[in-house]
Amino acid sequence: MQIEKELIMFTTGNNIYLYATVVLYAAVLVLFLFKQRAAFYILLPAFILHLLFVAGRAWLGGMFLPNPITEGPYFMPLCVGFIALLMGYKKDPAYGYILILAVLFSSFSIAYAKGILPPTPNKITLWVPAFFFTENIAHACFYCGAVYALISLFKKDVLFHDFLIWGFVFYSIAQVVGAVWCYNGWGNTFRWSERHMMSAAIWLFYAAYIHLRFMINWDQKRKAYFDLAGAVIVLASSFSYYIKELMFPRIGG
Amino acid sequence: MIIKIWKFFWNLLGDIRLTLYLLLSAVLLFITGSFYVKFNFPLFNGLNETRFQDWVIKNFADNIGIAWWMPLLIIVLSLLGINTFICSFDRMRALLPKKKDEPVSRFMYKLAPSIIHYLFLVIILGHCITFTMGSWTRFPLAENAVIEYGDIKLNVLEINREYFPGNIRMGDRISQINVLMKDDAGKTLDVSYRSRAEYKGYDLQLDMEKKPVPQPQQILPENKKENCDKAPVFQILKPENLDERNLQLLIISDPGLYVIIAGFTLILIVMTLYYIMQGVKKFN
Repeated sequence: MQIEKELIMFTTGNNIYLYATVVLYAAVLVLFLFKQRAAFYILLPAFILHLLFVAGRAWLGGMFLPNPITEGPYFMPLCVGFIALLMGYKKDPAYGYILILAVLFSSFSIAYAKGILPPTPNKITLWVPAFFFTENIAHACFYCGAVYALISLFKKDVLFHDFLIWGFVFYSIAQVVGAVWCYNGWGNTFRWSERHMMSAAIWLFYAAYIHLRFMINWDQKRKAYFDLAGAVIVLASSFSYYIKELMFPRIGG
Repeated sequence: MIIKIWKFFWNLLGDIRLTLYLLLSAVLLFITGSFYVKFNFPLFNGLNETRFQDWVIKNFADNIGIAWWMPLLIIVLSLLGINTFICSFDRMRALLPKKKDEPVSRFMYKLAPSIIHYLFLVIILGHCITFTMGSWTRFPLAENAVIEYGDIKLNVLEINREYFPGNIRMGDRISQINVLMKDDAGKTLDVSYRSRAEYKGYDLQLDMEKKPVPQPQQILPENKKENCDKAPVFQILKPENLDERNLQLLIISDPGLYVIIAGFTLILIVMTLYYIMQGVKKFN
């Protein structure tokens, strides 16, 4: 159908926008090492291309569905790109290092299964994209916090605390939204399943981080290592789901 | 003497260092438990639709090698609840005498973390109520079936399936199922995915049976005439009545639900106000 072909071109059914995004993010990263401000002006079009690619996924099923926009392997790198853009706008001297994550995660998107997971009836609700939206933003904050934590081990003036606070806030919202979705879909606000238990573990881990400010013997260095450990838990947990979902049948890819 | 002992345990259980140890212990236990749950899904899935104490009585002794982490988790979370209560109580006790000396907004800003902690306890309490007092019962659904459960008796009148338009990639997939039921008094109930019904204190929801669905088969047509095109022509057969096999009615009684929802809603409101006030404070 003509309309579908036009949508596919807009959504870049051949994923050209995503390839271009990865190349531009890599270019920005290299340029950042030499000229920070110039790099920022290339970051904006890179992010816009990325946004177009991710937003276009909503039409891969042949009609508008918000669920594919917020699918982790695609949406989380976009969140990382957004954080890099935000930090660049605020003239943070370390913002470019976040692009290492943007390049890596976007490259994973290129290698990942194309198409969308056709939603079952209990997933055709706005609670689903709301949950994955907030969860992926939280994950992006945790990863960016880890990058800054790593840098802080070598540079004293780099702070990562705010990333983790915002990540925790978004993750808490995700737990609430997720609980509503879970009840509407399956009749429980919390299920004894691998997914829910890992979510609880991650939430408790960052709750523990928040309480470190009351511990006298937890200096910035120890907190940085704590933060890195949290990012490893989030990475292992979320990417194991992404790899598991590779086996699920998809359409539009 | 008793007061000294009480103070000793009060300070011990309210120590912020204990908070950290308990939180990290809970993290380790949840991660450990997630692996056991992943590799023993049928066993632990029962916890989602059975009262916690019933599941323990039935399964724990025979599966102690798989479920050993559960009592530890319960103990850690219980101690965390006590620790949270004591810490928050002590903080409120320290703040309340200073209420008159400060502007209301500044006082509420200082009080907000304690309120958030109490609301966290409310949410945990709600989950405890759900786990120990909730009930979940499933019935397969088909037209003209009769659902009988306790004082519920419902006749299934109609099951209507809606599909995505056939000319798109999502075509022929189910987008919604509406089930129309009627009780003996003539009251009708309409239940669909994402839209549950309330009836006699229960929530009625639709769900699917959790087992693999046979995939469409590819077969060669019989007695195909010889022609110069040697490529076989396949036909795809869809399993008959695929949709009717899986549909179930889930009857839920969850007394903890509204406690949890109330806790969640209030905690989000208080957290939002707290971080806005923090932002205003930084700006000023």
